[in-house]
Amino acid sequence: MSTNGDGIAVHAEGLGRRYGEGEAAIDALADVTVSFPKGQFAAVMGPSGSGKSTLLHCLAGLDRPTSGEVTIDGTALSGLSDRDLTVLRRTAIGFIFQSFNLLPMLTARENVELPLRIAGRLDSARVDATLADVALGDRATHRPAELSGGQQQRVAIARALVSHPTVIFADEPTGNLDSTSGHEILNLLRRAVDEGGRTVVMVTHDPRAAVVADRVLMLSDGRVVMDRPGMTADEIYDAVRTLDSP
Amino acid sequence: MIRFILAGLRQRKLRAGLTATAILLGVAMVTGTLVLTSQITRAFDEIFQSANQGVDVRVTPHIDFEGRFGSIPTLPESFVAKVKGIEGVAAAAPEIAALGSPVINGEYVQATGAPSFVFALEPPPFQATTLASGRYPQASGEVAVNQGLADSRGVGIGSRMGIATPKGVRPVTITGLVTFANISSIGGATITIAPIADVQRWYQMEGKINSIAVSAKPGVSPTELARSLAAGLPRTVDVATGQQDAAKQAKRTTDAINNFLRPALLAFGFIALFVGAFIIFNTFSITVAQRLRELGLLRTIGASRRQVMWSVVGEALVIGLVAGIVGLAAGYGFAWLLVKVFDAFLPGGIPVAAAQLSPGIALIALVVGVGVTVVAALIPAFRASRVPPIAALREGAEIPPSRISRFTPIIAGVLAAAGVALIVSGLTSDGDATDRLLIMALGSFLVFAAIGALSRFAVPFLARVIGWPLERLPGASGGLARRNATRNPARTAATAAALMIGIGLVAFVAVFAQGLKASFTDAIDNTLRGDLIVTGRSFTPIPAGTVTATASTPGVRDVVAAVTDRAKVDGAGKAIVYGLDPGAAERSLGLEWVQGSSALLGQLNSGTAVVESQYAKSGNLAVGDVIYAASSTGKRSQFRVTGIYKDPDIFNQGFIVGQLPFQRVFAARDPIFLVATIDPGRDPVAVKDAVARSLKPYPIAQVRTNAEYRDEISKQVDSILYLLYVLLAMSVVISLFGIVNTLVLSITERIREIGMLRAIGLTRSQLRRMVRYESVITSGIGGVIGIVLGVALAWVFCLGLADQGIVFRVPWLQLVVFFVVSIAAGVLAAVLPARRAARLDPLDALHYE
Repeated sequence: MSTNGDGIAVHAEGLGRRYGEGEAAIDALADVTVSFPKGQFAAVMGPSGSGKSTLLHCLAGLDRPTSGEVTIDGTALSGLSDRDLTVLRRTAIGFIFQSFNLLPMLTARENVELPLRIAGRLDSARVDATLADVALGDRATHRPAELSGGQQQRVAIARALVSHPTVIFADEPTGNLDSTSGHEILNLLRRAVDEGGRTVVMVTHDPRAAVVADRVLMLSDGRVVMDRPGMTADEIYDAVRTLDSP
Repeated sequence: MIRFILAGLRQRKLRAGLTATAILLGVAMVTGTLVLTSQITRAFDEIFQSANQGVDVRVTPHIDFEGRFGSIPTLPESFVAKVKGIEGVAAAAPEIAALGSPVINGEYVQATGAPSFVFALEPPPFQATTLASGRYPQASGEVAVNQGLADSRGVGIGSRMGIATPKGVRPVTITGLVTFANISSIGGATITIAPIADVQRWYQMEGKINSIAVSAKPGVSPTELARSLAAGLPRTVDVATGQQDAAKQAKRTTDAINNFLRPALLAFGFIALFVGAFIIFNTFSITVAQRLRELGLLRTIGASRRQVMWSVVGEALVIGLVAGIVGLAAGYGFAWLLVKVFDAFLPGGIPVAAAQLSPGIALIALVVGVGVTVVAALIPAFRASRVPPIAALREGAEIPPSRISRFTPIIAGVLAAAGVALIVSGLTSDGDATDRLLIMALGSFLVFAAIGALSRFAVPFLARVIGWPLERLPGASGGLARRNATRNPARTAATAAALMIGIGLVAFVAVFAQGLKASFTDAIDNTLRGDLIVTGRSFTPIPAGTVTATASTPGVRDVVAAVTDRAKVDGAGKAIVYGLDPGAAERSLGLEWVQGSSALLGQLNSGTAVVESQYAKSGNLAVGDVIYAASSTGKRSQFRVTGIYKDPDIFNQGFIVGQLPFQRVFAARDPIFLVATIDPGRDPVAVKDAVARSLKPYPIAQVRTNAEYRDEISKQVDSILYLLYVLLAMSVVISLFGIVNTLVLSITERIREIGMLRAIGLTRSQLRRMVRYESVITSGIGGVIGIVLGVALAWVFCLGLADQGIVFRVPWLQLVVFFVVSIAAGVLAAVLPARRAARLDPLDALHYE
């Protein structure tokens, strides 16, 4: 559901992220301007050091850019205090990591409930529904150690979805999974976009994952060098190969 | 290997520092105690040696054992002439040392615990004091006093004051001020020097003296002179050189202080060390668990198991060394602090020589510091050696559980049983008191260790109970904290155990003291049926004149005077003998009779005795037996046992006889206390005031009603109790470091989780709260187990000491306070770790390697 008129979930304007100073300075991101409309599944790719993860961190409010501005659903991040930023992460942003997503001493259900509990607004019905969405109803009382990698990531997706966020950021969500589990995860994300109306921005290095997305961005040396909708797997492979070889 | 160890330590400076501090404080307490007692010993050695400077030989009366409290045996004055006639003697002078307080402006001068001496003036070279101003007394009624008294009371040369003697207050005039071995006052003790004739008259010692100081002719050594004197004088006297005598007196004085002070302070020092050792064990266990990949790596590049183990031990060694060195320095600070505390509580303080850097003490500090740390780290070091090389590559590798860990509950149960058995055996055995105490202490230690080992099974339950209110609070912090605490019950239990020891000891002391107080107050209420109690200040005997003064006060019906002395009983050891007036005793005392009745008290003047049950048991005395007793002066007598009573508190450790038979054998005449009953219908407070007026000539005597006396005893027990609390507080402080340590370590362990929590929306303050709640749950667990254990242990002790009159009373309010303290400790311990956790950048945390 959009709460503002122009339907943009995340917008980055002239984003820059510089490490170090003077001659030793490195620009992980340099003048990146990009918009992610609501209801879109975007994949961000690029070789190591391209800045894709840095872009994701800046968009999610986990890292502060050295220049430029990030806006999430109309709210500019730069003006927010750490506390406000944190609250935003509870309500408007969902995050899925490559690994170590879950607290080992909580059950699957308790892990999914976590963002709601932190906000002090537990809604059991919603938790049940979300668990059902990711088909984990029967494993809800198990601890992460008792779940497979794929199941753990499903719990992570449920947790990211449970607060009905404006945008979900995923950092290499299939990186640690075998291909079957990986497919499951990507399907779940796809369904979250198609049926749930969510917005997903996914960083990946795997073309087979990127093909699920509506739109693929390629970064190289901190800049967006390609931004195309509806690419096929072969097109993505070619693009990656071109980038990888100088 | 060494470089590896040092590099590792440099990296983990904070943790190493916290760990070292845990041991350091214990080392400081032990070192400080040794330094202080050495300072005291040396001070008194100096004092007595310099006081005996002019004395080559001293002649004293021979005694078998110490007589009644405060009495000093006497010699006939005629011995002085005999001594002067012996070959090699240059000069000989009589000496008298008695106790007598100055009375200034009608006010009795008596510092707490410090004696007031009255010395007969001696001719040079024997006079031990140095004249600071004025002159020594010449005529009767003149005195010289110590500078400290003059300074503190505002009197000086020419001032008039009184001396409280057994026969009343004598007026005197000050003609001079003196110092004793360059010290103007020793802990508030006062010195009055008067002409020998005056002193003899005041203390009814006409023709008698306490000792003879002798100087040798040039060319005669003190040892030779001592030998000639010993040969030429009868066996009733002892002869010692000035140095020997000084050493003996110094030893007696310092023993009295140090034999109490040293074990007491060392005990607390050892408790502190034990808690510190515990923390070392815990900390190293955790870090080994965290460094699995690093240790596995060492093994993959070829380090042997032994090398890995020694790397951990090496770390402990370095930490122990640092703790030992810094602890040594801190110990000197601790000793300095104690001296200041003494100065505050005793005017003039206790004399201490300057602190010296003794190699012996330094060695002890280092050995203790290193030893405790290394021993505590041995088990974790061993576990480190068992890390397989594969741990370097795998995530989530674990140390294979040790083979004995399965039997831990059984071993703990056995230890606990053994501990209880030791305690019970210590309580019921008849051996020497110190041995019994040691056995009981060892037993208690085992029980603590066993409960500590088993406490992990109580963690989930206790965490739920203590965490319940926290979980009810809004936000997820409470639930997360409780689950974090329950995640690794063994580790939480180990962390809590350090606090458990401190709080447990505090609870034990509190319950025990409560029982002690109750037993005293019960005894006062039941045994001393009288309404008024007259005692001397600081438990010194009061002049015999107080008996008639009290008895003749209108409103007083009966007075029982308790005169005591010491006797040696054939086959039953030493005893305290109480000489009471039979009629008054029968009317006023409410003894608990095991065999017999109060009628027996009325017959005591016929040569019978009633014996206290504990003494009867240990001396194998029954009704019908005859007691053969000898006094300290050698006079013998016999008493037939007609009854046995139970009184562990007041008429204890001996037997009661009638006044007349008592006076025939024993020299003591001054009672320790009087019990007075008042005429029915009179107001106790009014009669008390009347008695106080009658006792004005005897400022040493104080009269109080039963209730007032009870309260005073209660307060005295309380003040000792608070002192014990302060000393135990050190252990609690150390255990705080343990909690801080563990929290910091577990935060490091969970950095990625913390990053994730922050990423999904946990604010910094919520994170801080989570850490704080986790700390509170841990410390709360330690407090609860400690309190339960302390109370249980006290119950066992009170049960075993029931026939000494100790009852079991639970001070509920204080226990609640202790629990609150443990919670507060948790809050305090969380401050640093919470701040560290909150400062983490979520991004860095997520990618922590």
